[in-house]
Amino acid sequence: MKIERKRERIFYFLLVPSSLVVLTFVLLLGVVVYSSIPALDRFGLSVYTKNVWDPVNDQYGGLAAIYGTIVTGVLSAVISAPFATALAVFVNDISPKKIKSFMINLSDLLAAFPTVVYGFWGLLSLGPFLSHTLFAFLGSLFGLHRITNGPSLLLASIVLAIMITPFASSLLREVYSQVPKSVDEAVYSLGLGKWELVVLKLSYIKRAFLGAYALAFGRAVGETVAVSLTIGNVLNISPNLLDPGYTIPSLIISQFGTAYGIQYNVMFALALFLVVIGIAFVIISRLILRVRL
Amino acid sequence: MKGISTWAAVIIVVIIIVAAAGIYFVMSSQGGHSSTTTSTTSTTSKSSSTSTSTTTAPPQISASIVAGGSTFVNPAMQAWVKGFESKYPGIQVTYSSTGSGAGVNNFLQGAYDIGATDVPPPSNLYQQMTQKYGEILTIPDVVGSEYIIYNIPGFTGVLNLTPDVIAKIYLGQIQYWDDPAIKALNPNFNFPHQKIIAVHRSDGSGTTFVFTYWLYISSEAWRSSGVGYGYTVNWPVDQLGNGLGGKGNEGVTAYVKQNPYSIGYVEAQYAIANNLTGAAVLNPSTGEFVKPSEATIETALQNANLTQLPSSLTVDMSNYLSVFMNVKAHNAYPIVSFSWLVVKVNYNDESKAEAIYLFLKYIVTTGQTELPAGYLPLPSNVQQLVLENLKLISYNNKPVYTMVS
Repeated sequence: MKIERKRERIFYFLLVPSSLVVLTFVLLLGVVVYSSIPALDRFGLSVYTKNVWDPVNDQYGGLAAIYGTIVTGVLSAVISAPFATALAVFVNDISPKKIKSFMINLSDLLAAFPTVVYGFWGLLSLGPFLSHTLFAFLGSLFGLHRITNGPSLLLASIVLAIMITPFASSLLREVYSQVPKSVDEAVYSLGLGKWELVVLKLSYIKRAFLGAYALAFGRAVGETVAVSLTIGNVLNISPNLLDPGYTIPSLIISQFGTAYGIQYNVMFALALFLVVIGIAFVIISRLILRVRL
Repeated sequence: MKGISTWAAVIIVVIIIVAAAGIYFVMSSQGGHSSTTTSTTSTTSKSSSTSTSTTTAPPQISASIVAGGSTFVNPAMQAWVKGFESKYPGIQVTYSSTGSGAGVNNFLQGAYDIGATDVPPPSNLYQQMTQKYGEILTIPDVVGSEYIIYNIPGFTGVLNLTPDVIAKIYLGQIQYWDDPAIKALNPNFNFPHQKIIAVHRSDGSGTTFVFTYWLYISSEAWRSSGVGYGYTVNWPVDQLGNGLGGKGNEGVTAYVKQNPYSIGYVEAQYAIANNLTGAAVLNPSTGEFVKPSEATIETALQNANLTQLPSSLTVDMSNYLSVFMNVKAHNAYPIVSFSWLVVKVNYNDESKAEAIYLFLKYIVTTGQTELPAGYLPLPSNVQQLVLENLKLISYNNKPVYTMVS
């Protein structure tokens, strides 16, 4: 009996860190809200709806950064989805055992790479390469304005997509492998092939797919260094994806060191918007989940 | 169950203490005014009682100095700290390379004893500092300059540029390399009809401040545009989609190297250390195009009109940024400035006052002979001016230089 008690105590003690998660969230949100109040007070919602960044005259509006954040976030998720799904299906249903573990280890390794490595690789290798191939093709196809040798909204989105694919894929492949074996047996007993099996199994994990991409989108939207290196860092709202742009995290990492006065508070107001985007995304994905798929 | 609940109570108390400490830390690092004033008054009473025993000033002063700011001065500062600490083992100096704006900001918040910045603190911040600390010394520590770098495939020789052309490129008024204004300055090269990519700093930086300030005093087009000057400005060229923002000197350099038909500006020290070629820039005072090099920057320094500088460096130095720009002399490079250190004049802690006096004196004397490659020392007349002003540093309004030398 006595030993049991002791163990129980230790067990409860081990649960304490879980409460720290809540505490951290509350504290962080508190600091962000507290620090953004002066900016919201002074500029109102124009902090989010105007495109101006002029510390000389103390005028701030982060619309270009918000635009860039949403565009790169959504675009990277869209680009990454087919690759992540294909990888998840391949390692589970197609590949031989040996290649399977090799692929899984490799993709997990990629997910653990420091993001600055992706950023420099995107800037120095991938950017110039894509610029001469894909971007040149897109540019001439649609007659787009294209001046940089890489840095653009599209390059940042592609680098982000490459970064989040291993992560999203590892989530997807775990869920995919959880689909009951009976499905496989049923499909084969009906005389159907691999293609039908994969389609059927994917329809089982639609919800998990949304969950995985809610997380991956969060990663993409919060990325700082890799984006800062590949997006070009200019406050420009352009529907042309080959033009450079900005995102909220890359704006914050660029300017936080020298921000003083109201600019400091504007940074927090933009960070608050990032939190709101994150929460909105979670709510939207929940709403989609409620509708029967 | 009783055991568990006491455990729980202890844990909750610990969490609350940690949280409270966290909140206090966050609040004090933002506001901080009230807490610093109370702590300084308490040290006043303590140190005044001990002052009689230490007036004989032993050579071994024990103190620690926290400094930080400018990334440009960081390599020089690391060399100075190393040399200084070996001479005065009792004094510990830490320098964090956080950027000019942060240097000024953290000095104002009380986190730094010495704030390093590539430009003197702007007037509004200078006023806040004097309100908080009383007199403030803003002293030059090393010479700074800027190169205009470019990437034009096939171009050989030296690109000639005027302040107006550079201004108009960054304003988006000159968009192509074959613009008549550029062709007129460089008649020997057949420029292609290519858009100019204007690369600037994405982070707030003293480099941008000096660059835009120089454009402001040298170009009518820049003045009338209303962009002004600062650590970060609202670049009009960005709105056209022809701008790019790189983080740090290395970010700007990488973007210029990666993107053909681009132009950018970087610190001279960085350019010299990395063998970058700078454009020859028109000096409006002489009408000459001058290539940047250690020699032409040196020429500007030697011929600057130092009578423009105030004899006391306790005034708002932001009005004196242009003393070394557009110096009227043969072969004087036009974009030259100083990097600066900001310190309090009066201290409540005697050993700290002495340590800061000794460190600053070391920087402007011995330190100027130990500069890493690419840095240029202060001219001797400026060294003299700074040394005179350092004598103002005092402990409870008594100058400390007599006690340590």
